[in-house]
Formats: sequence, C-alpha cells, structure tokens
Amino acid sequence: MTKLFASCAAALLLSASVASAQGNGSDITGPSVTQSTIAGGIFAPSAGNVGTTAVPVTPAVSNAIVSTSNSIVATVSGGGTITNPVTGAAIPAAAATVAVSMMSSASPEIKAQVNNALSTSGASATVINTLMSTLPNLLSNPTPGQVAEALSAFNAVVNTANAGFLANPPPEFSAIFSVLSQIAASGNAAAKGR
Amino acid sequence: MGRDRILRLTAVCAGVLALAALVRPVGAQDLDSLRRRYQLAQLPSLEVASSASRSSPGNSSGSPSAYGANFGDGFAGLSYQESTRGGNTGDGSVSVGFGLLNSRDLIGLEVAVASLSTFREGFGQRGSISAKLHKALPKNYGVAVGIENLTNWGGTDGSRSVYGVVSKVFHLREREGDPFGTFTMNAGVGNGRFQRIPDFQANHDNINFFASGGLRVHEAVSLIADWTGQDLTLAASIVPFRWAPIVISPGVADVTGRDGNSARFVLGIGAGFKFSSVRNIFIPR
Repeated sequence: MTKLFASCAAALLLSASVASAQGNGSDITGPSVTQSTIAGGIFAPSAGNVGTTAVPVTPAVSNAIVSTSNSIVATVSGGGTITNPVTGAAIPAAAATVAVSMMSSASPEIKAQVNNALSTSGASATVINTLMSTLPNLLSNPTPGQVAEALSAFNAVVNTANAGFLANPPPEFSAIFSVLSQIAASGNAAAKGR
Repeated sequence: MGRDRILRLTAVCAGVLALAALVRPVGAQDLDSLRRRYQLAQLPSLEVASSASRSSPGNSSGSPSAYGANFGDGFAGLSYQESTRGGNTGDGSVSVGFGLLNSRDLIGLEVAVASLSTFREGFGQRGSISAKLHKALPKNYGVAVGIENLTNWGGTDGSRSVYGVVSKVFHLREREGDPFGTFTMNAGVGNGRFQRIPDFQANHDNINFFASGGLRVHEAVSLIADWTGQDLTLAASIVPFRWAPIVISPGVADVTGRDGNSARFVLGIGAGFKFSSVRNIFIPR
C-alpha cells in the first residue's frame, strides 16, 4: 500500500512541470478553491466515528426533540411523574431526577449511581460505558447525532441485558428508558409529518 | 361426594399449575420478548443524515489539508477577496469537486474543478483542474500530495503548484463538539504559490513550507491561523445550520503585510456532502 501511494505520488509529481507564468497571483490569494478545504473540515476524521456523526436533516425533527426534552425537564423539575412505557408504572421521583441530571450536567455522583444501576444488567462494561458517554447534555445541549447515538447505545444494553434485569429493572434504568422513548417517539412522529 | 373430590382435585391442580407458572424460570423466548419491549425506535431521518453528511468547521483557509474527499463524496465552494493582493478591486472563484477511491482502505483521489476569477471575468472563462492523493493513517493522521492547477484553460496567474502535506486531528475533549474539543494541524512543503512572494513573482521554482491550524472553540466554530507560505491569514470557520453542511469562513489575509501588501478581507463558503444523499441535505423532508 505504501508503495502504491508512493508510486501514485511520484506520478503526480512527475506530471507537474515548472510553474507557469505568474501575474499578481489573484487566483490563489484568497481561500483555496483547489481542494475540499473550502467546505470546512467535513472530510477530516471525527472522534472514533468517521462518517457516522449525524446532523439532524429536518428542522422539524430537531425542534420536536428539543421541545420534548424541555417538556421532560419541566415535568420532572416540577415534581411531575413519568412512567415506564412497558410496565406503565410510575417512576419514583428520585430516579426521574437522576435520569434528567444524567442527561444534563451529569455530575460524578450521578454518573456513579447510574453506572451502578446499569452494571447489574449483565451487559459488558464497554456497552454500558458507550451508553454512559452518550447521555450527558442530551437534554440540555445535544450534539448533532447524539440522540441517535444514545438510542443505539441504549438498545445495545437492552440486547445484552439479562432477563432478570429487564423483568425487574432498577428505577434509574426505567427512568432513562422513559425519557429516551419519549424523545424517540416525538422525533419519529415529526419525521413522519405527524 | 365424588363430585366434591373432583372439584377439589381440579382446584389443587389449577393451583399447582398457577404456582408453576409463577416460579418458572424466564426462558429464551421470554428474554427476547422482554428485549423487544424495551427496544427504542431509531430516528429514521437521523439515520439518513448519518450517511448524508456531517458538518464541521474548517481548519485552514489557503493551505492544503491531507484530508480529502473519497468515492461518493462531493463538495462545492466559493472564494471571495475584497481586493486581490496589491490590487484595488475584489474577485472571487467557484469550484466543485469529488472523490474517487477511499483513503481509509487504500488511497483517496480528490479532484477539484475551479472557475477562476469568476467575479471579474465570468463563469468558466478561465479555470483549472487540481488533484490530490490522500491517505488516512492511524491516530487521525493524514498524508497527501497534490497538484494545484494541474491543467487549466484560459490561463492562470496562480501557477501550477506541487505540494506534500501532513495533517493530524488532536482531540482535546471527550466529545469533539465540546468547547475547544479539537485542534487540527496541517503542515507541508510546496513550490509554485507556496513560495515566498518575491520568489513567486520572479517565477522561481523554489520550495517553501506552509502550515495551518484550526482550533474548534465551539461545536460549530473554529478559529484558524494559516501561513500559506506567502503571508498569514487569520480566519473563523462557522457552521451556521445544523441541518445543512454549509460552512462559512470569513478571514483577513496578508495580516503581516509582507512585501508591502495590505491586510484584506476574504471569505470562503462551501459545503461537503455524499452524492447519494444530496436530496436529504438540501431538500429536507
């Protein structure tokens, strides 16, 4: 591969003749149009996920997610109740607060509490850590593609969790599930124009 | 009596069966069922977007980068100068480009077709084709060699320039979208327009160095310092929309005023995309 790269590079170099006549160089004294840097850093490598970090395509989806996130934060902050969509059971207020905190500022104490809850799932530490890394700021200041990454990471935990955990999940897990399911539902509804 | 015994026996059996159902260990079928109930529906529009584009502010203004377009990638852009170097009037060029092969698997080839001096002379009156071979390396390094203005029509005052460049992205935060999340550096050598201004104007064929760095101070904004080999450009690069990969990069060129030149306002506007998903970017559903 190195040889191939070197050969192609040599071919390019050999094909270049001596510089042609210059004027004032106006063709090259502004931002370069001779390569993709004019389009920003879009082709530079991204943090471990080259080509997979997403941007919300539609403003409608983005707006729906933000609106739902704000609504959840307001509900929990105001002492309201969120429920586990699977069991229908109300989630303890303390657990709901932990989930919202985890998806906002995510203090070390909150991270430790959530990590302890998830560690009983039977999922690997890698899978749990991936989910843990996608949750902070999800409700307060999500990056492009973070919601999609969080949904994928949550599903990965579910797919490797044991039956006992899913049959009787800790309240922190139920709270995170409740929040993510509401966000996913609103985003999908917006994507379908509903 | 016999009927009572049958009823009691039936009740006992029903109780045993109910108890067995309660204490029965969860089987594979139940586990699958539980997992299905907790599965979250992925967002379809975001899945499309993930293969369509990702926006990122730039890390250079006039200098090359070792990163480039691969097969299926495309880009388009516009470059504007308030006044050309040593001149009194503005000018601007436009370009489109595409990638071939893949820099992660083997080698990427980026090709750009530019309409030069478009603001002064009109679209397509003068133009050039440039090419860059680029290779992605581990640890976010990249290396590339390229030729600017490999061929042209109508002439160019920018010369044909051969260069080699190395780039690296440094991740400074756990999430690159966080403030000061990444720093990207490009450094290389080249002839032609990368020479010092006196050498360039004297039509020499010397080699000179260039370097640029972009600090991503915000998810959508980076600050750029770019030594093009001839002078310093300071610029910002901004991604104004989350839903479209448009990048706007205003800056000031010739900051040091070498060889008697004055600082000038310059502006770049461009977008990168996957050809297969252009519709999803520019025509939101």
